[in-house]
Amino acid sequence: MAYGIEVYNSNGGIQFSTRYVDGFTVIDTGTVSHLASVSYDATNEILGFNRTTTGWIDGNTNSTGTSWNNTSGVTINWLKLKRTSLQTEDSAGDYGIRVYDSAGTNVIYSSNFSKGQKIIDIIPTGSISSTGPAITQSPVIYSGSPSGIYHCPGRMIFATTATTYKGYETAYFDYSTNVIRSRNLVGYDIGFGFIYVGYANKSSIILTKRIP
Amino acid sequence: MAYGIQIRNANDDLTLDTTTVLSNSLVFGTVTINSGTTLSGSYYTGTSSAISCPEMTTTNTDVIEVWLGNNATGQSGSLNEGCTVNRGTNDFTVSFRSLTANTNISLKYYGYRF
Repeated sequence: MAYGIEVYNSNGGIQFSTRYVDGFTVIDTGTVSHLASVSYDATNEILGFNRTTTGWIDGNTNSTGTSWNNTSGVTINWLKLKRTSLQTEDSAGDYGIRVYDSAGTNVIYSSNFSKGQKIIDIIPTGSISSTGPAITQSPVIYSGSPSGIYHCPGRMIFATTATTYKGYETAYFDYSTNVIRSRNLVGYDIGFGFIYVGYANKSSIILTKRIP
Repeated sequence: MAYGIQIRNANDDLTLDTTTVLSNSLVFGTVTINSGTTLSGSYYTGTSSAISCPEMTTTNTDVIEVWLGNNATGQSGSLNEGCTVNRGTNDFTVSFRSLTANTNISLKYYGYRF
């Protein structure tokens, strides 16, 4: 690296670097009630979900990729991640830190956002798979209190409403054993009921905390 | 705090310290894949052209990953028609398998470092 700035954490993890083209920032947070929807822009936003009680996070993405309907049975917390360069600072002042990419055009890091995130873990693509529909047949992807942890599952298709096919790319928040499980499962109606087949996660899964 | 920097926003929220991990986008875009016409097992499988992703290797999943999401046009219900990320050196491809020949899928992707 001939010029610019790079910042690493104490474990050698990258925080930001002018070598890279962009970052991600939290642009909005909120809650969505059971059977209500939260809108998002699938072209440049990533949704993350958290629930405050033990249970699955289930829902449907509409066919145009503009909203997610909560079918979890409880109110769900959500956050939206967006490319930093596409987001206007909402807490700008005459102080703080703003880092641009090498072209000087994209803001890749800024302290002038009112919300932030802190990545807890990344689950690599193809690394986990459910073995069946039971809770314990979905692998643990996080150990620790699920409180405040948001699950960003990649392809945001969750339980579909189809009568012959169901797909799940969801999470189970377990406050009794303090773990989060990932369910990667498809179900097919074979005429007298569904059979379920696990598959490896197609997208990486981001586990993150929101700030504040 | 023994070393390093802390960055707070205007509300005095700590947005970065020595433990923070953030994601940095290396490459992003949309890829459309056609399942093709070659049947293997029960599936037709197509693969995208190589997508440049600097610093990616076949094994460094601890620092560079790919996130796949539906494009805005959406393919609700197509999850069983699986996609697979194939890691390379400084690039990756995405394979798409379908029960139907010549089926297209459009995906949003981010290659990112963390």
